Parts: sequence; structure tokens; C-alpha cells
Amino acid sequence: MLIIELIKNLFRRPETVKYPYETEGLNFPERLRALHIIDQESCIGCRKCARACPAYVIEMVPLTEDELEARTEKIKKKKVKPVIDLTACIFCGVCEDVCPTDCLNLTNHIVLPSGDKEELEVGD
Amino acid sequence: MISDIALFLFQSIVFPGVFFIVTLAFGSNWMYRKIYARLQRRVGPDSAGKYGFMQGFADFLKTASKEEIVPRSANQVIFRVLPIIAPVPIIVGIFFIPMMGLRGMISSPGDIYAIVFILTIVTAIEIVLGWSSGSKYSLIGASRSGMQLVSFGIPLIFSMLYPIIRAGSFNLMDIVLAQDGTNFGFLPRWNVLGLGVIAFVLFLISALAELEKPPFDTPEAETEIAGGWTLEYSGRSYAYILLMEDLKMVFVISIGVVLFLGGPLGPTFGISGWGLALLYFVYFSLKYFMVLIILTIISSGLARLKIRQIVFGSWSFLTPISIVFIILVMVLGGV
Amino acid sequence: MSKRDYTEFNLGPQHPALKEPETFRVVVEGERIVKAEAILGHTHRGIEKVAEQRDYNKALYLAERICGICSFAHNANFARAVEFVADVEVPERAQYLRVLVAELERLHSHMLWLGVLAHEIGFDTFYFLVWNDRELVMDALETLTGNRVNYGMNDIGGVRADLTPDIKGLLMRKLDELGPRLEKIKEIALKNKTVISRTKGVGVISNELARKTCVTGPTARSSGINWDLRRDQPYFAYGDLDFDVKVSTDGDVYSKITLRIEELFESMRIIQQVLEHLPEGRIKTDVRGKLDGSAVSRIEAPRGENFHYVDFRNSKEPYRMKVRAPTYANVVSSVEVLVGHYISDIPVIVAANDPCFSCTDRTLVIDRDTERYQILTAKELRKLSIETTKEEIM
Ligand code: SF4
Ligand code: SF4
Repeated sequence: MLIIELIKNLFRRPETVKYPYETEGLNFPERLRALHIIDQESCIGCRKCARACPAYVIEMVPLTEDELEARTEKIKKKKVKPVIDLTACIFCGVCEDVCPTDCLNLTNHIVLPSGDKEELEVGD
Repeated sequence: MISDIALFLFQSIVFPGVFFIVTLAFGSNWMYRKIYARLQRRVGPDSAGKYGFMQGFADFLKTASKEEIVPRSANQVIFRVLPIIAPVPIIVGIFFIPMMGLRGMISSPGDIYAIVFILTIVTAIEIVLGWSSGSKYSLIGASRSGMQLVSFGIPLIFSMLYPIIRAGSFNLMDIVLAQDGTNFGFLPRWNVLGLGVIAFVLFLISALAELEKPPFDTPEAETEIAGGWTLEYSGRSYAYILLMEDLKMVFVISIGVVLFLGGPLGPTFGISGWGLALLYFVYFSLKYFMVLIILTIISSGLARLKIRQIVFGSWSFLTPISIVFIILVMVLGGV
Repeated sequence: MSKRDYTEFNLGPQHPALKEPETFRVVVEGERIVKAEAILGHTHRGIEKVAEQRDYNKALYLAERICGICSFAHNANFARAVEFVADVEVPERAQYLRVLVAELERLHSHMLWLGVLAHEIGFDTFYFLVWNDRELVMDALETLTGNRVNYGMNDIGGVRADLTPDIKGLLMRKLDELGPRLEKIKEIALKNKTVISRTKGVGVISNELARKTCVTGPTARSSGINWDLRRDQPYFAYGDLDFDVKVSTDGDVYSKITLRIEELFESMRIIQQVLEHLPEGRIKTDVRGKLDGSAVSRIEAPRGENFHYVDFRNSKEPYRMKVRAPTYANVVSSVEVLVGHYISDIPVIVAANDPCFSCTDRTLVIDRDTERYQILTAKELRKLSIETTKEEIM
């Protein structure tokens, strides 16, 4: 009966979670595809992610002088690095799938809003 | 003499006058929304003030500070002026209600006449408001509002007849006093406890229709006519319309409390003077919020009816029932 | 009756009852509708054209974004069409996983529809109760696929994410919780007097009208057309699963509520079977290189029959992609039945088909007086637009 259900509801805790003030009760599963992290130390600059991205948002940026200096043995051939523009990313996770060195990962960190467009460029 | 005038001014403007009534209106708005939300497992208003209690004020101020747009097709004078004076009749009506004592701020031998008149005037104002905005949605909303008035006028007035017959008077103080005392030593002699419960149910249904709350929110039906007669109003005018709706809630529910639940009556414990007034007010508010909660639960459990169904239901069930009921009461001599 | 007794007004493109931009132009006499007309195409996004510039791996994610609610149906359908062209065998485990997501999607879509319908008839409490329970399904989908809406579950030749024992346990728990809640929803929806009075006998789509306007999905099944692609042309793993196709003959909105609630229970049954009988094995066959040829794929989306056509001419990019979303088939019927009803019924009747206007993106003109509907050709459209512009200028 609806009326019983309603009166029960009156004394139940509301289901609303007042995000972002509280996050208890929210579901952040492992597989959630959100903020990217790129480990530039192990990225070899192979461009595979940029080629596979359905939204064309990964740009391969040439390394600066300093960065060229700082290359380790593992990535000594690297000349470009991926930079992802999250404002147009569709969070499909294809880039993660194709990356041969596992240096590009999607985390389940969903808090992305920002007033600064620069902050939404991952990889710099 | 001077102190009398000062007291009157204080009463009419501060307490229990306009300011207090407006606070009560916003409080009821908050209460309605909070309970409505909790019934749906939501939180409801919770940001403005403690537990969102200031939500009514916040809405009013925010809306009032917005730009006011007057459509070209609207009747320029009525559209601008009427919303501002729309809350006035209801405030006057609330002055009749005995909240703090056995006598309202205004009292006359014909209180009920005035109250019925004001209830009708309010709907008439809604119709004119809708008509003057010159939009088709508003026009449909206004015509629906008028149809509801025609349908629920008779059950509403007939349900109010029961307390009148019992008290033998049109004065609210007499009606309240007629409910004083107890039956069998414990049961208060309120009108709702006894045969009057039928009248009370009729009154609740008509009150929902008068307040345009679900399932009778047809004149404002958001998903059908996008807000009905309120559609074109914005800015300050809309703020006053919101206020008017909240005040209407206070007014209609207070009438129910006074007519059926013994108004401010309750055990007095031998207190007198200001203490008694306060006690009366506490009793009144308790009953008031009880009726508000009942109305909220009813309105949250039902879907909106079509205007045809409302008119049909009213004329084929409510009106005959109310007429038969009143005839019965008259024959039995006001039980 | 003189002309002045009629009022003509537009419902939409912006209207609280319609969640997406579309226009219903109705002529009313009092509150009675004497003429109705649907004007679609406000959300044309040119997805088919854009798909021609992307290779099939990327167009897959574009197809997913045709619709926000039945995104898996479009995505899987496109993948299936491309698989036909590439002529690959999809592993059985992937087929079962596709059924799993498709049925979870059907659950959430039907519950969303119930909520929307409740909102349209002004029954907000039910709307919130249903949507609250729907979160269970959304959580399940999110845990399984990684997103609430655009699952990104499919790949050409299989699926991308596997069902681990952990997630299986979680899905089981969620379903166990959902079962009793669905029973409760069923009881509330079908017994509430006001719901009955608002929906019973309203918007009756007769069997003839249903056949004439070629409706699909639950709309067709509620009008007595016993047709469900899941059973009649089994795809994915539906052939191995045991389920009933519910049919009703009333055709009114109430029968659609009943039907969809029963389909909810059937979906629960299917999901349970999938979880129990999930075969082991790979989840993906690789598809690489250029393709040649064309294929059509049809699957039963929550709203009805979903049609994808792809044509490859020795390329990775489709030469042509064509989509027909179920709403496109269903909206005509709802416009037909509007006449004779009242203004209060418009949102109910329109919402009853579970319209999704973002999927439906062409122009359709229905002329009530001559009982004729036509799809405008480019030439006619151009002529019409010139005429309208002229009128507006003058
Ligand atoms: S997740 Fe974003 S960056 Fe990565 S492939 Fe998809 S759209 Fe491109
Ligand atoms: S992130 Fe991975 S795929 Fe992209 S360039 Fe670096 S190594 Fe290659």
C-alpha cells in the first residue's frame, strides 16, 4: 500500500547524498572511467593513444629542451608526449586499452570541475 | 486611548499581524515542501537557514529581485498592479482567525460570510491574473481555476455549515466556544470528533482544490500547461503570487482548524493573561501543522486529475453527499 | 462552429512535459483536441554523416551517443552490423555479456519511463520512488561497465570488460534487492486509483492503427502485435535463454504500464539465467583492416526495434551509415491518437511511447485534414523553408 510506504518514508533517512559535501554512500567502482593519469616517465611517445582516440583529444606535444635532457634510459627515443584535453574527452578508455607501456590510466576520481581550462589538460 | 491605538498598530503590523502572518506563510511553505520531500525520500529545502527554514524568504527575495517581464499581449495595467494587491484580501481574512485567543483580531457577527467571500475573491483574482497575461496557457489555467471554483464551492460551503449549525452562529468565537468542554469526560467536543468528521473530510478535499495542490493542481499543471495562470509572471509580480499561495495555505488550513478542531482550545491548566494567549497559540499551531501534514500526505499519494474528472467527481459525488449530509444534520437538529 | 472557437497552440519545443526539444502543434476546442501535428528535427546532429569520417572503431563510440538511454542498443547494434561485414565469429561469452548489459539497460530504461510517466500525470511521489530504485540498476551497470550512461562496453568483435566473480556477486545482491522493490512498484502503479483514472482507456492505439503506422517495441506489443526480435530473430545469446514475450491487446496507456512492468520481471529472469549459465572463454575476436560490403542489423532496444545499416567500400570508414531509432516509428501513432483527447492527455499519450527524440532526427509532416503524412524530400524542404522565410519577412 502506498500510504503505508509513504508514512514509513517519513521516518526513513532520505536517499539523497549531498554531494560534494559528503560522499558517503556513493558508488565509485574500480572500473569507473574518469580522470586520466599519465606517467610521462614511462611513456615512450608511440602515438598509439592519439591515433586511437575517438574524440581526437590527445595531442602529441614536442618535448621541451629541459624535458629532452631529463629523459631516462628507458625512454631515450621519446620526442613527443601526449597531452589530453579533458574538456572534449568522452571517457571511453580506449587510450588506456591501446597503450603498450601501461603508462596511461583512467582513475575513478570523478571530481573534475574547474574554473581554469588549463587544469583540465592532463599530461603537462 | 493612545495605548489602545498603539496596541492595535502593534497587533496588526507586528504580532500577530502582517509580519507574523507572512512568517507563518513561509514556514508553512517550508513545512509542506520538507514533508513532501521526505515522503519521496528526498531531503527537501536544506540550505537557507537551519534545515532550510528560510527557504520561503529566500525564494521570495530572489524572485523579487529578478527582472520583471511584461508580455506585449498582456493587459498592461492589470498585469502590473493586481499581483501586488493579490495577497491583501487573504491577510485580511487571516485577521478573522482566532489564533492567540478566542477572538480574532477582527470579529463580527458575520465572520463566516467574510471568509467565504474572501475565498471566492482569491480564486477570482487568480482567474483575472491568468486572463490578463494574454497567453493561451494562462487562459486555459484560468478557465480551469474557474471550473474548480464552481465545482468545489458548494461542498466547501456546505462543509462549513456543519459547525455553524452546531454553534448556531456565524461568529468564529461562538463556533470555537461551542467546541469547548468534553464529552464523556475525556473526548473534546470538537466538531471533527463525531458526525462532523464527514464535514471535515469534505472540507479537506475542497481545501486541497482551493489550494491547488495535487491531485487538484490542474490549473497550474506543470507538465500540461506549463504553470497555468502563473506562467507569464516573473520578478516581483511572481514573488507576490508565491506569497499569495503560501498565505492561502495558512488561511484555508486555519479555517479548518477553527471550524473542526476547536481552534485554539485545549487544557488551560488555570493559566491566564499572556501565558494563556501563548498556550492557545501553541495548541493552535499544533493542530495547524497536523492538518498540514495530513494534507501533504494526501496530496503526495495521488496523481493529478483531469479537469473533467474533477468537475464530474465534484458534481456527482461531493456535492450530493454534502447536501444530503447537511439536510441530515438539520433534521437531527444540529446533533 | 465559427473559426474563433478554436485555439491553436504549440507544445514545445521548450515545454516542461517534454524532456527533449520537439513541437506538438495542437488545435483545441475548449480543452478538446481537434487537430494535432508533430514537428520533429530540433535535435538533428548529423551523426550519420560524421560517422562516415571515422573508422569503425571510433564510429562505435559515436553510435553510442545517438541516444543517452538506450546507448547500449545503438552501440551493440552498430558493432553487430560491422561484425556481419567483417564476417567474424563473436565468442559466446561476449554474446552472453552483451545480453546481460542489454537487459540491465532495459530494466533501467523501463523504470525511467515509469518515472517519467508518473511525472507527466502529476504523481511525483511515485516518480521519485521508482527513480530511487532505478539507482540500483545504474550502480550495477556502473560497476560492470565503468559508466552510468555511455557504457563503452562493446568493441567490434566482442566486449571490452569481463564479468569477474566480485562483480557477479554484486550484481546478484543488487538483483535480490531489486526484486521485492519491483513488486512494490507494480502494486503501487497498477492499483492507484488516480493512475488508473488517468491512463485507462487513454490513447488507445488499435491493432489496425498500430499496423498502419508500423509501431514497434512495447507500443506494438501493447496493441496486440506479437513481435519481439529477441524471440523471433534471436541475436546475441537470446536463442539459448528462456523468457516470455508479453502481449496485451488493450492498446491504452494503462496496458503499456502493465506490459512494461511485466517486461521488467522478464528481464530479471534473463539476467539471472545469464549470470548462472555464463560460458567460459574469450570475450573478444579481433577485427582489423579494411572492410568491404554492407550489412543490416536489427535488435530489440528497450523502446522497440533498432535498425542499423552500414556500408563499407574497401575502407575502414563506413561509406554510409543509416540508423532508424524506434521513436521514429512510434511517434506517428501517438500523434494519430491525440485527436479527440483533452489537453491533459497530451503529455501522457506522448510519453506513453517512451519517445526519445534525440534518436529521431528527420522531418515529418502530418496533415490531419487530409489524413496524409509525408516525409519531405530535400527539394520540398528547401521550397518549404524558402516559403516560411518569405512569410516571416513579410
Ligand atoms: S578516454 Fe578520452 S582521451 Fe582516452 S581515448 Fe577516450 S576520448 Fe580519447
Ligand atoms: S601514453 Fe602510451 S600510447 Fe600514448 S604515447 Fe605514451 S606510451 Fe604511447
